[in-house]
Amino acid sequence: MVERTCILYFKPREAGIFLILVCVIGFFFVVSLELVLSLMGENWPYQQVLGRQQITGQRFGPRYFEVNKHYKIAGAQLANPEVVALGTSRMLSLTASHLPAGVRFYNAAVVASISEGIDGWKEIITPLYASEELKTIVLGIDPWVFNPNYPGNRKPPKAKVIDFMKQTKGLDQAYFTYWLFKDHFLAYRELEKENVNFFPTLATSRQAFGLNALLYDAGYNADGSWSYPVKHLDEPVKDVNHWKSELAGDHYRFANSQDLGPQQVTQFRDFLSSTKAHGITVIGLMPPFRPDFFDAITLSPSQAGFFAAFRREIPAVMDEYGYICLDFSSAGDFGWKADDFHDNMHSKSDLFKKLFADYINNILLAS
Amino acid sequence: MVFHSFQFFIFLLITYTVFRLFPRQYQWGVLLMGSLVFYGYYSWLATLILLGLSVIMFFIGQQLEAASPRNQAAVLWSGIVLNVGVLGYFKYTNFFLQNVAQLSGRNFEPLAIFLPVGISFYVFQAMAYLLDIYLGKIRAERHLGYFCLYLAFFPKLLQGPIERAADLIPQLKQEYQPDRPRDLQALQMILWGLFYKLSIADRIALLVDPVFANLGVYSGFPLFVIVNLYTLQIYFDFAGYTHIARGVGLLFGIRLSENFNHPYWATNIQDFWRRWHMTFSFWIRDYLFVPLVAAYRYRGSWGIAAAAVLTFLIAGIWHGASWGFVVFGLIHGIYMAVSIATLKTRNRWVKSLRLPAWLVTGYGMIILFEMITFSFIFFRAETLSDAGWIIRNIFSAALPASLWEVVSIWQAILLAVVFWAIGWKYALLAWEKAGKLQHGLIRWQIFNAFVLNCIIFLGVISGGAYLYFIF
Repeated sequence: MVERTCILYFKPREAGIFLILVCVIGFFFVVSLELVLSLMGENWPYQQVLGRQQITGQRFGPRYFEVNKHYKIAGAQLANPEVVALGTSRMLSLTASHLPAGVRFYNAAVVASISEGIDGWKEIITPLYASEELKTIVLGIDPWVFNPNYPGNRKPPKAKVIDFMKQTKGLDQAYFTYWLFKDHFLAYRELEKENVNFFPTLATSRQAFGLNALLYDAGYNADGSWSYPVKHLDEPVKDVNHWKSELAGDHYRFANSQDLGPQQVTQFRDFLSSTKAHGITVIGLMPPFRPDFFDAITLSPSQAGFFAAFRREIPAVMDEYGYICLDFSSAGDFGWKADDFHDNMHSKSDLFKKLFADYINNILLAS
Repeated sequence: MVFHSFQFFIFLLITYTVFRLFPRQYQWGVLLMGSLVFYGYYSWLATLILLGLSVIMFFIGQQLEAASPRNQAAVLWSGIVLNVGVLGYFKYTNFFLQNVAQLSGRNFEPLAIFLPVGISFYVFQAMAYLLDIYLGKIRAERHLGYFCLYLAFFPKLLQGPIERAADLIPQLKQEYQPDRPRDLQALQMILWGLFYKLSIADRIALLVDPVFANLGVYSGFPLFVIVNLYTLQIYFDFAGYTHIARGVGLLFGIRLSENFNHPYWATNIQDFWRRWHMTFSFWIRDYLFVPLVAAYRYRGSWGIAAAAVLTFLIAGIWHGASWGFVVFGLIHGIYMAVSIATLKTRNRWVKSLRLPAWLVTGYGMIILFEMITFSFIFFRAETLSDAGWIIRNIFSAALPASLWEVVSIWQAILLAVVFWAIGWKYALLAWEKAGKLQHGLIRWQIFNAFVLNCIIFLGVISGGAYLYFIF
């Protein structure tokens, strides 16, 4: 009875054998799970996905891995665009079809939680300077980029350690390996809980990469824009008081302050100086909020001041560099309705189509 | 601090280290302190209640032993009433008041009574202690510390096993002797417990919970599969907990009682209750069923049937304050009464058919499994009307739904993997028992390495509590 016990078997030889067995069997588990992820197109290298996307136009919508900004960096380099869009998820519905025909466009907007703010913009744009093809940046500017409380702007000790590792030779590989393991292990955790019947989808010929794209036709297009799921249900309009109470508890997006973060404004100026130096036109664009939410921000006693400062100061800063900044925050002023939005912050693709046709495309053609 | 949490393993590591560092005569103190800290993690008020009850029962036990035969019953009943009163107040007051309010057509606002976790288990142990003294099976404990530890010993505090004083207290007093093979066996028990809980029970919960939360959209075969899966879930959940509890106990040199003996291999309901939650079923057998049978002995088989129904009714109520548990107990009482009354006739009839033994056994196991599954519908459903809905719709195809909507092919494959491991374990045990297991050590090493990987890669780490936790 006791003989069967083997974990931590104190004879080194037995313990060694057990450890080897754990590793060998573990390897088979990893291979099996990676195989399933591969059949879904979840774990393909970004370069490979992007290459296929450029050829076939297939969608990339992973379900278990968060699309990292490196996907957008690589995508932008591969597309070698004349016009690039930067910003957060609020810019992701902008597609190449909204721009004048023949313009080489790539949407390099990244979901806010991983965009890393202005530093993130620089990371995407810097490699594009070399090709000298880039002429214009359509910059979707959100208020929280200038909020010092915004997670992308804060550097907690853990983030500082990570930054240090990423910038130190030798440690950067160690961090990458750790990140890779962690990312994949978390993906296994999600995959093993999956109860959606995805097997029939795998049996058909590959139409897309990633389970969200395969099942719901949701994900990133070849031009970097993002398509909502086919059966996406739009969030209903809510009472202004509901939003006001929600805003009162959220100081990450709209700061409880009358001023923008000075450090972020300085970073913004640096970014504009750099684009100016490379002869690139920047068109600032404050994406619209749904009318019910916009009213709540402007009526919020603690956060309206910050929002007003954002709308006042950012166009002024851009003007200093000879760039224009168009403020579409108040959708109602442009005749856009709640139906033009997926939720309080994210406008539908059709709204971007109208917005570009009426206000941006002429500027693009002129530049 | 559930057993499969990171905090618990840190707590266990600290307690074990301090336990080993302390001189042997004070190690019980470390265990008692550890147990109180463990319980205090849930609620310090509950810890005070446990300590208070322990002290009172300790002195009642001494009084009971010292009392003259004429007064003994009175002392015993004072202890029983106190235990039942404590359990009743904390667990059943709101249930009772709610039903009274419903009957009288008044509105009911639940009283803010908090339920000390594990109270059903340690109250039953306290009652068993008094009854055993009364019946002359044990002497009253003279050491308050050991007695408190008997009720509070943390591995079995929250969900049992329900230990008898005669089994546990002598072990607590025994001097701890380091024993490497025993420690390794303990670790293996913990490993298997985690496998049962995380890789099987919680995996099944992923499928079962959404269906029970949206009953209105499922019927027919998918519903049938889900209720059957729940029967497996509750076993692996509770057996997983028990494995871990016994493994942890063994690390401190304490052998806690077995609680399960392959219950779904039983072929009749009596056999099932000899294998399922054994420490509880033996408790109700010894302290409820046997005295009731003795009381009704002049009423023949009707007396035994009545004793069975009454015993299981109480057992059902013990599980929780809801009508679902009452019905669960009633169903098992009826099963038991009918089984006892018809066992001889059935055996004669089966014998006369001259069927192969494997067929009779297999048939018995399947029928019994479905009977248990039927009773667990009332155990799991939120309300009696939910249970009624399941029973009405389980054999109808009114709502067309494919099985794959409730159990995806992927989940079916993962379940097949973990159940295959269970089959592997049984095969190894069977070969070992028959003396046919060659190269046993390496085979068990491969098996345990596989189980460890199942926990790492197929364990559902959601932090879900154990199902019996609420009792």
